[in-house]
Amino acid sequence: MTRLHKLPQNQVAAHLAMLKGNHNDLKSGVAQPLGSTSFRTHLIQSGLAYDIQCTGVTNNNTVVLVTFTPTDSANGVLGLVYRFYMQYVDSTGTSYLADSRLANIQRQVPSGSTQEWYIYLQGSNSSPIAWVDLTFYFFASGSGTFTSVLV
Amino acid sequence: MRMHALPQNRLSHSIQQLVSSSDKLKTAQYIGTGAVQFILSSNVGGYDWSGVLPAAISGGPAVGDQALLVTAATTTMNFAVGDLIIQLFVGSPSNLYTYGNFLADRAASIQPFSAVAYSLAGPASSPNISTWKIFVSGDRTTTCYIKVYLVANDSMTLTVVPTTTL
Repeated sequence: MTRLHKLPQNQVAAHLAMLKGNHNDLKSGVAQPLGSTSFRTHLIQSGLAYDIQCTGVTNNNTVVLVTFTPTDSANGVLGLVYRFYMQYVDSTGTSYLADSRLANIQRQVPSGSTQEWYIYLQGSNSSPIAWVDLTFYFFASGSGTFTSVLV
Repeated sequence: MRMHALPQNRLSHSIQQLVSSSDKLKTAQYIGTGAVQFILSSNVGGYDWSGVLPAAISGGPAVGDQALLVTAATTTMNFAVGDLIIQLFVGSPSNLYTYGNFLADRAASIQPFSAVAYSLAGPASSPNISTWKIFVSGDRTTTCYIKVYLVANDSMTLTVVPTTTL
């Protein structure tokens, strides 16, 4: 049998046919197609009572590093976190839900696919806060996991 | 007879289908595996605004404040989703001032600095434009520098201009 598509004069057409196949795949949903004004939101949270507990908080002795890692980072920087919220509860009875408008929540410039925030806690040197519980919520464009550690 | 199946017509037919398919793709955003890629945007240079803070409306004679309007526009997408990252430098464009510095200065009774950003609604007729206001406050005798970064669903053009409206 003659492999006509391997003839030099037919190879361009064969390549174009493959390209056409790729485009058809993209259209049919092999990749996630979105409408031009829609955007899929993921809320990522641990479901735990709190994500990190800090103890003995004085004026400037407690900084928490929160790191969000997208589930799929193989193809570049995926999983944009466009809103970050923090639930704060402490032993004195103070509680609030904060977003990055609070000055003590400082988002860092990302390098690679992870996204990071520093949380600076403040208490009293003469009367430290016994404990502070922090819980984090991420509104992101993809699924992911996060960690929070004292630094 | 299927004229497009003739060898001499196959190439042009394939190209025609490709063009048609590409036209349809142009009206959709296709992304990979359930996540949107984010892009980090910033302007060239070490900072977007610098200056000594003018006298504040309230807060005493030593305190100054400055409002900055940040406008970000997408390069290609027709809507913008993103988050602003601000860096405050005090005294020199390389002296990053964190909230830890704020707490330390305040404990030492030194007038501290702070910078926060509020997301604004943006123009209703232009969903591809996002706006923020940054409020810088602190000592009135030291030059402050503000550098902004944006993580968003598209490459963004950024402008940072002082505004008198607090």
